[in-house]
Amino acid sequence: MDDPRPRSPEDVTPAASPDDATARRDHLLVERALAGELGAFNQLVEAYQDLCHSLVARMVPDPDQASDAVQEAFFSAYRNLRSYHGPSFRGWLTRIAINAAMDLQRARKRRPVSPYPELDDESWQPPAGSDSDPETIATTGERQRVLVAAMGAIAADQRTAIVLYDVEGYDYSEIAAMTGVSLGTVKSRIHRGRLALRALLADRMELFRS
Amino acid sequence: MGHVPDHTPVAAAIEHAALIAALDAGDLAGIERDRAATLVGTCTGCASLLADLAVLRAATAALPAVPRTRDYRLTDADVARLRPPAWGRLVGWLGAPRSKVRPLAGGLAALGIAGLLLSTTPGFFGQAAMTLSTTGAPVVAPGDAGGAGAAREVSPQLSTAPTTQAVPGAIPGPKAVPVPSPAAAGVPAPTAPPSAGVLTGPAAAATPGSSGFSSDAGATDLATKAAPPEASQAERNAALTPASEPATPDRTLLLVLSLALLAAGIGLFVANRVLRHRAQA
Repeated sequence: MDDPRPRSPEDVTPAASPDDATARRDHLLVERALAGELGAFNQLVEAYQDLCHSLVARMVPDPDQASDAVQEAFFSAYRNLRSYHGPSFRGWLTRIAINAAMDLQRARKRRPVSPYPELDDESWQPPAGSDSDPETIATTGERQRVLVAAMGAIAADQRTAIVLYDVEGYDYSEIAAMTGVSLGTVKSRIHRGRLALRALLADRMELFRS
Repeated sequence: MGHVPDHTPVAAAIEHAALIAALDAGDLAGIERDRAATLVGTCTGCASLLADLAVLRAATAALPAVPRTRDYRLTDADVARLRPPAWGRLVGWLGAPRSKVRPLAGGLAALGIAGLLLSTTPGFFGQAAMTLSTTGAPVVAPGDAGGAGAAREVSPQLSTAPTTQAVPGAIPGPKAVPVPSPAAAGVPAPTAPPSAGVLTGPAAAATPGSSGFSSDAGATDLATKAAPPEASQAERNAALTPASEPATPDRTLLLVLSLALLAAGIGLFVANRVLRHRAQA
């Protein structure tokens, strides 16, 4: 009598996950875009522009430059769409966006600009959370402002590693592959970056402890 | 000069901070982890650092998404601007992993190699040269003692052409078909066997100016006219030589074509490989 249980993991056909559906949709859109349908590519842009902007805006302190980097990333993706061969369009596009941000940061090193101009604008407030308590909103806003300012002040490679790990949730090996450095270098950048943040915020730590 | 370990308080503080940061990230194991835990337990600064790092890590992860201020969808103008030029499209086609460049390169290279083999194989062109040299054999007037012998001295090809009969088994080429010259249109065919396709011997030379049954014979007539009777034998031979050369351009043409095809095939293959590597990088 045959054993009904699967003998190996390969025997198990995984159920279709939302990720699979997304990947299939992306694949179809890429095929249509390659056939010359601009609307299909713009559907991909609509799906991922928030993600790319959020990622790059954390890596590139200047908002205008961040927007330029994201636009350049989508241009680059369109130009090089034939070189995409899966499996994840999101991963492929994220890597392009990170490269665009890193290129911009390297250029910014040569021509430094004032980071985070919104910090000079007293009317600027970060987006409010679910708490509507004015004191909580003010504290949260101040905490985010000083943290974002400190993030803009640390080294670009450390900031990139921290954003990818802490904010975007990638693991060490993914970050190593995306940034083209070793696993040890990724860890070292994250450790040093956090220590640098703590040194910059040493006088404001009570904001975070409360 | 060897590396001298730094035991200053500053260096120790930096090392301890790195250890605490690694502990906070969960990247330590074994002895290192025990050492960091001991530090945290015995040093208030270390414990404070560990707590601060944890708080900052949580605050960083909780940072809100930066609102998007621009629509990044591409317009038709963007697409027109981004469209690569003709050479860019060519480079893209050459470097495309799934293009037909590799089969094309392989086919061209194979054709080139085949052509090279044919052009350098002695038997292939040797047979053709034999036929051509046979049809282009000089015609020597009767009584011109040593004429055949002198013709043999001109070139090895000429020396293989008998003056009295065709080579057994020689394939009659296009030039071997007897074509009456205008001057000889009304003259009956000479005694030479038409199946041999070669006009030789005294019958051909007996009637200068009207004995040409082939273009080669005509060429021989011209050569004979070009070299006056009183000219030396060497001059005559020099005038006769061009009649037996048509084999060389054919071989050279095939050789050049084969080399060009081989170079094109190899070039396409190398371009495809280089551009694909560059695209992957």
